[in-house]
Order: sequence, then C-alpha cells, then structure tokens
Amino acid sequence: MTAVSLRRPSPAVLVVPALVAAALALALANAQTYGGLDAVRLVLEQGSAAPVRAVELVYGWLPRVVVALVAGAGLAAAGTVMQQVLRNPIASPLTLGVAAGSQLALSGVTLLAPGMLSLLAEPAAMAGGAAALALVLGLSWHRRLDPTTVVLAGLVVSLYIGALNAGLLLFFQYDLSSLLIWGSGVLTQHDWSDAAFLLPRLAAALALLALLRRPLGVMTLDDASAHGLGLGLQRARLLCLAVGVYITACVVSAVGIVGFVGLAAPALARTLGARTVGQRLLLAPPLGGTLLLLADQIVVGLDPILPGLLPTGALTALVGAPLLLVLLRQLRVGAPSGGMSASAAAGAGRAPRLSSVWLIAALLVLLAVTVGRDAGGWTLDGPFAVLAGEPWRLPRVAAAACAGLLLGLAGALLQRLLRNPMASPEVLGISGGALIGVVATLYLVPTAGQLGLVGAGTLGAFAVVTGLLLFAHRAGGAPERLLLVGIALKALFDATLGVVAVSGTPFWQRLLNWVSGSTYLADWTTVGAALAAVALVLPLALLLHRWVDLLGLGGEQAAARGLHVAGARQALLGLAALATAAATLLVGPLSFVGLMAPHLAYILGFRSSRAQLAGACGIGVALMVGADWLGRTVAVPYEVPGGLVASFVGGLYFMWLLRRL
Amino acid sequence: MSLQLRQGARARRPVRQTGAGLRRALAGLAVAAGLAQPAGAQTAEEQTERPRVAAVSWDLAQTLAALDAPPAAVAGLAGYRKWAVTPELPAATVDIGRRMEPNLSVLRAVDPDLIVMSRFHDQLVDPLSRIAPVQSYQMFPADGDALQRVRSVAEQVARRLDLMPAYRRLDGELERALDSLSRTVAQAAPGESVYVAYFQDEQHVAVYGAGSLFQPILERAGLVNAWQGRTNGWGYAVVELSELDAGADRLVVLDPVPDKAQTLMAKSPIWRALPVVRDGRVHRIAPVWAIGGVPSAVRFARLLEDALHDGG
Repeated sequence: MTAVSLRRPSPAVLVVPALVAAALALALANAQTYGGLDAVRLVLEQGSAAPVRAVELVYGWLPRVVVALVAGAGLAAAGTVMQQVLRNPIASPLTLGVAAGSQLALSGVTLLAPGMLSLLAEPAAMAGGAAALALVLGLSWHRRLDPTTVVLAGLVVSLYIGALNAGLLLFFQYDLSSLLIWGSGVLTQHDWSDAAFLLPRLAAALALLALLRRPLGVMTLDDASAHGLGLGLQRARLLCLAVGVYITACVVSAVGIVGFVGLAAPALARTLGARTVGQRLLLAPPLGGTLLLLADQIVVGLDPILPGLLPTGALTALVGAPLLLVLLRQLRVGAPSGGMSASAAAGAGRAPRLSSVWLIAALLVLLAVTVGRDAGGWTLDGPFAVLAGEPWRLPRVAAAACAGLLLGLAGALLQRLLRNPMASPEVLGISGGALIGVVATLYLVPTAGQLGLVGAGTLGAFAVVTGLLLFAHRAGGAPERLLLVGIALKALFDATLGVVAVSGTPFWQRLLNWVSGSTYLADWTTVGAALAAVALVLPLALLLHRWVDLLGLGGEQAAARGLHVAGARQALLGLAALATAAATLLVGPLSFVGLMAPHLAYILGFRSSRAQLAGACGIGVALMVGADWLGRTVAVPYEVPGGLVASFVGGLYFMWLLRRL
Repeated sequence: MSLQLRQGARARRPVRQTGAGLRRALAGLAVAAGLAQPAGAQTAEEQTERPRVAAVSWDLAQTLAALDAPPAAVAGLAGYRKWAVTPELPAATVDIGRRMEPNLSVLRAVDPDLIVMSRFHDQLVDPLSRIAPVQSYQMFPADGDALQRVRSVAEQVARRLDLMPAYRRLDGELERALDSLSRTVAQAAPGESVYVAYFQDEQHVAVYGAGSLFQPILERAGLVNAWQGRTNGWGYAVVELSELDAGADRLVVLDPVPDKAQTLMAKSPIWRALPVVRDGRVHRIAPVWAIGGVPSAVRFARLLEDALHDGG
C-alpha cells in the first residue's frame, strides 16, 4: 500500500506532527529538570555513585518514557485488532471489559497468594482478561457479535466486575491498598524491569499480528464471503483476539488500567485515512505511544504543583470519555431489538393482578423487618418488638423500599421513552452523573450537608439527562446509541474515584462505602425526604402515562395526536432524572434495579404503560428490600451494602437478559 | 422509647451470658493447652464488673486495652490484629464488623455501656447512640502536636471510665519509652535526620511528616524528620519513592512491605542511589498503627530504639 491509495487525507493529518511535537517538547522539558544530557553522562561515568536526580533520569524518567510508548502502542494494537475482528469501531480493551477482568484477577491473586504476585501476575491477568472477553462474546454470540450488543455486553461485564472489585476493596482495604494506585494507571518506574517485561512481549505480539495481517484483512467481509475464501475464519478470529487480550494483560499487569488509548489511537488512524487493517496496524501503535507519552509527560510536569498523585489513567479517561461520544456516532446500529418494543406493548398479555406483586413486596418488607441475625444466630421478632429493640431496622427497610420504587419508576419511564428494553438509569449513566455531582461536592466541600448533596446529585443527573437529550436529537432516532453513553460516563466516574483513591486519605473509605450503596445511615429524616420524592414523582408519572403511551408510538405519531413532543419528552425524562438522583443518594449508582424491575414487570404481563409503571415500582421495592436484607444478614457481623448486593444479582440478570434478546 | 429500648436490650442478656460462659470455657481450654494468654487479659468475670465498652476505631481500641480495660467489642478485629498488633486484645473480644458500618444487631447483643470511636466516624453517632451512649474523640487530624493530642485523648478516656491510675501508669510508660529512646539517640544517632515511611506499593510510599504521631516523637528524641514536604490532615503524604531524595541519615520503613517492594530494595538503581540508602541506614520495623494513640507512640518509640541498637 502506498500513500496514494489513502483516502482523502483529512485536516486531522496536521494533528500528528502537533501531537508528536507536543509530546517531545514536554518530555524534553521534563528531562531538563533532572539535568538533561549532563545527568546521563554522570550516570555513565559514575554508575550508582552519581547524584540521585541523575540516576532518576536514567532509571526513572527514561524507562517511564519507554513504558508509556510501549504500553500506548500495545493498547493501540490491541484495540485495532479487536475493532477489526469484531467489525466494531468502538471495541477496545476498556470497552470490552478485558482490562477490568485482568484487574480483578490481580486483586484475587493479591489477596489469596500475595507472595506469588510477581510470579502469577502475568498468567492471572491473561486468564482474567480472557475470561471477561469470553463472557462478553458469549453474551453477544447469538446476535452474531452485533457491534452494539458486544459493547453493551462489555459495559455490563465491566460494571459487574467493578462491583466485585468494590466489594473486595470494602472488606480488604489495607490488603489491597497497593492495587489502588496501580489500578488507576500510574506509570512511575524505578528501573528498566517493566520496560524489559513489555518490550519483547509486545514485539512478539506485533510480529504475530503482522503475520496474521491477511486473514485480519478478510475479516471485514461478512462471514459467508470469508468462508468462500477458504479460511478457518473462527480459528483466525480467536487467535487474533487472543493476541489482543495477551497484549492488554501484559500492559495491565505492568502499569494498571490506562483507558481510551486503545480506542483513541485506532480511531485517529482511521480518521487519518488508514483504510486497510495493515495500514492501521502500522499507524495506530505509534499514535497510541505518542498519545500516552503526551498524557504521561503532562502528569510528570504537573506533579510538583499538584496536591497529590495524579494517575495517568485518570487523565486519559478525562480526555477520552468525550472522544467516545464522538465515536459513537460512527457506530452502525443493528436492527433494534424486538421483544419489548412499544408496539408489542399494545398487544394484550395475560395481566396478573397488580395486587399480587405488591403483596410479594409487602411480604418481603415484613421479612426484612422481622427476621434479623446477630452473632448468636437468626432472630425473629414481632414488628412492635423490632420498633422497640432495633429501631434502626425500619428506616433502613423503608429507605430501601423508596429507592427500589424510584429506580423501578425511572427505569420504566426510560425504557418506554427510549423504546429500548436495555435502558435504565444505571446503564445510561444517569446514576453515575448523580454520583459525580455528589463526589465532587464532597471533595470540594467535605462538610456539605444532606440537602446540598441531594442538590448536587440532582444537578449531576440532570446534566446527564440534558446531554442525553442533545445527543438523542443528534443521533436521529437511534436510541440504542444512548446506552453507550453510559460507558463514557462510567469511565469518567472511575477516573474521579481513582483520583481520590490514590490521594491515600481516609476520606476514600467513606467515599467507597457510600458508592457501594448502603442504607446503614438511613433514619426517619432520610425516609421523610425519600417519601417526599416518591410523593412528587409517582403521582405525576401515573398521571402522565398517556404521554408515555403517545411518545412510545414515536415522535411523528405523537405529534399528530396533538402532543408537544419535545416538551413532554423533557418533562418525563426530568422526572426520571429526579427519581434517579434521589435513589442514587439512598443506594448508590450500581444497583441495576432500574433495569430489572420494569423488565420483570413486562415479562409478568404488565404491558400497558400505566401497568408497567405500577408493576415496576412494586418489583423495585421487592428487589431492593430483599437485597438490603440479604446484605444485612449474609455475613454477620460484616454488612454488605444493599446496593452492592443488588448489583451482584442485577448484573447477572442483565447478562441473562442480553442473551435472550 | 428509650425505656423500651433498654428493656429490649436487657432481654438479650441471657444470650450474651451464655456466650460469656462458652468464652470462659474456651479460655480454660486455651490455658490447659498451654496457649499463652495475652498480657493484660482479664477473666470474663472481671470484665463484667467494669463498664462494657465497644470501640469502633482502632486508635480507641488500643488506648482502652493499654488502660487495662480492653473493649468488649471492636470493629474490624482481624484488621486490628494485623495492622495495630499491640496491645493484644483478649480472645473473647467480639468482632462487630466493618468500621464504617458496625453491625447494630451484634452490638446490641454485646450490650455495651459506652461506645467510643474516632471523630472521623461521627456520621455513626445517630445510629450507634440507639444502643449506648457514644463518645467520639479526635486524635487525627491532630491540628498540631499529635503526641499531645493522643495523650489528652487517653486522659479523657481514662477520666470518663474512672481509669486514672491506669492512665498515669500508661503515661509513665510513654515517658520512659521516650526517655530511653532519647538516651539511645544521644549515643547512637545524635541530631540525625530520619524518614519514616510505609510502602503503599513498590514505587510509592506514605511518608510521615508534620501532623503525624511520629513527628513529635522524633523531635523529642533529638532527631530531625527528613520529610519537610506537604502532608495531608492525617500527617502523611503519598509520594513517589524517588521524592525521598534529601540527604538523610536513616530511613525507617514500617512493615508490612509488599513483596514487590522487597525485590525493589534488592535491585532498583534509584533505590540504591537515594542518598539515605547510599550513605545512610535503612531500618525495617514491625507494623505500627500510624493514626493510633498512646500505645502506638510507645510501640514506635520502642521499635525505633531497638532498630537503632541493632543497626548501630
């Protein structure tokens, strides 16, 4: 391939020299602070007797530059391969959950066999990453690895693994403290060992990919034509993916999670006109290396003036998340999933009695109130005895119930409005937005009261909803894409947490606990506020169910029947945002109840919008109260936050749901 | 309401006492088997005579234990034994779960007369005070001399629980440990500068400076803290290892040291080029709960003194 065959070079071509120049200039400026070339000479002459700053240049700064280049190049190559094999422009080690899988495996090794970490890190990271990818592909196999489904599965798997990791951190905080820094992607080096670890492995992987270039190129064809060419296509695909996972696992075990380079570099290469996979494999790795070097040298340069460590991984996520939103627009969306579209909703189902759902919810509430467990074993008390003896139990159950109801309601509204069965506050990132608002407030104003936090959370949720509306407008009737916004927001959210985590202050414990979504601190004031939110949102949603029905028919039909479409949509999404913000403050951002409840309601036969809303509320109550009760009793005396329990259950449900679609 | 609560709590008494009986039996077994009884451990009978105290945070748990009034219940008990280590807590101590969320049902069965904790956990005051009166103390952030601060907290705790003789003994113990350290420093390391650090991972350390418990101990002993840089409110900063590049005489590393960091100490050129490693001495000492109370101060002073003796 020659340059002539490149497609119309876009103005983005200018970006490359600018990036390279910026990275080089920054790197050299940083090198000067260590003494520049004189320092190198000193180390060559005097060895370890040279001044420490000079040694730092040769054994700290220089390997750091090499590791940034190599890791960036590796992630870019891995991303290119994954995108090619899966025919998916937003596949990458991060979006497919591979990096998260490697990280979880390393947490496991750190806990179970800390002495073996050096030995087991590489195989464990490889196994964890491969397992995560296998899960993602398994979940989307039946839809022929449709890009949207694959990325959605990747998101769910990452969220699930994230919840597992948060659970581990909650219980083994000090044992895993070394993983906090590493997990946020910090590139500090103290000798050449990481570089020596990465270089040969990446070189071998790239050489293998060069050999696989031709079968890789064929993979853009659809399966039938590729088979016609006589290829063992699946085997070649698996081999290429394995190479991608191996590169990711090596990078993750060396420098932790550095997101978005594997996504940005191949995308940039495409924008620059690299059409064939061979061209992209040539272009993307140097671009990836440059991007990571630039980001890392910014961090190195900023270090002296920052109050604490800034993980390079956090910086790439902050820059990369908006990029993902841009890339989402390139994604060709497959046929919208059938099953539960609004038109099907009009069909009559054998509707069960709403009262039976609420009866089950009430029974669960009764169970959660009366059955407890202390060090001596299970206890059973009458409600009045509980009020007297364990007065904290009832507010916790009530708070869980309110949160479940609000999440069920928000989920039902979103699934109806976006006509997508996978929509939910958690997946769309609305919960994440609420959380970012709260975290930022807590970080800046540690003394902020509950009211301020609710305000900040609501603002965050509304910011996300506004963004969603704008994006939905641009996306032009492809609401599936909105789901993927959740990925970008999750990455932003992880970056925010990462910055707090590496600061090493005990503030982190409080934040982690809060993120895990516990009702522990719920009292009657909390319950009062939650009930107020319910009293505001529930009647409005039920009153406006006709709007929901009309919007479910699609914009034009709704307008034809006299509905102010934009206004109605905004109002209903606003309701969903408010409900989400309130619920997030009660049980954290991860519960998945907002996904499960409306969907279960639909399966049970609550097909009309009004019935689904009411059913989802009841099921949400049952789910959240059950999860909270389980968390309180399963590991006495240690409590597992209810939001975390719900996300363990809910994540599995989501995966099952994905397989059925 | 509060009357009902007490009745509810009293109803649980028999359960606890069965537990105490079992504990006594187990303790007897342990003695019969020749297992060492931790120093200062009390028999179950003696414990029931004193007010039963539950400690949510480890600084208060160790302070109570050092005042010969070990808490009946501690949050995160396994963690205490791993990270704070001394004073040892009796085998019968009840674990009440995570420090961020002590289990209220279990705590109710313990039926404490008082719950103590660090002010950092103040959000727990409301739920915990439904079980027993709650008293929170602020050791960290110390806002100044941390040694003075933890001493005065120990004194407040002692006053509250009528343990003043034990406090005077503990304070004397601290004074002796500090004096002994000063004498050793005067002989072995007069006026030297010292880093105190804990390895977070193989390339980052928490280094203790102004506001930490170790700062006033070093000063009093006639040493200089080599870390003059920024610290957070708890008296430490998480920094890259290479930032410990001042020409200090000694580096005291608190255990546990991660596996990979041990490899680093053997191999890394930067580590070997650090002035304190090249020209000074490195000491590894047993774990000390750095945001702890008087017992942590005593423990640190003794461990440091031992290290100075051994390291010459």
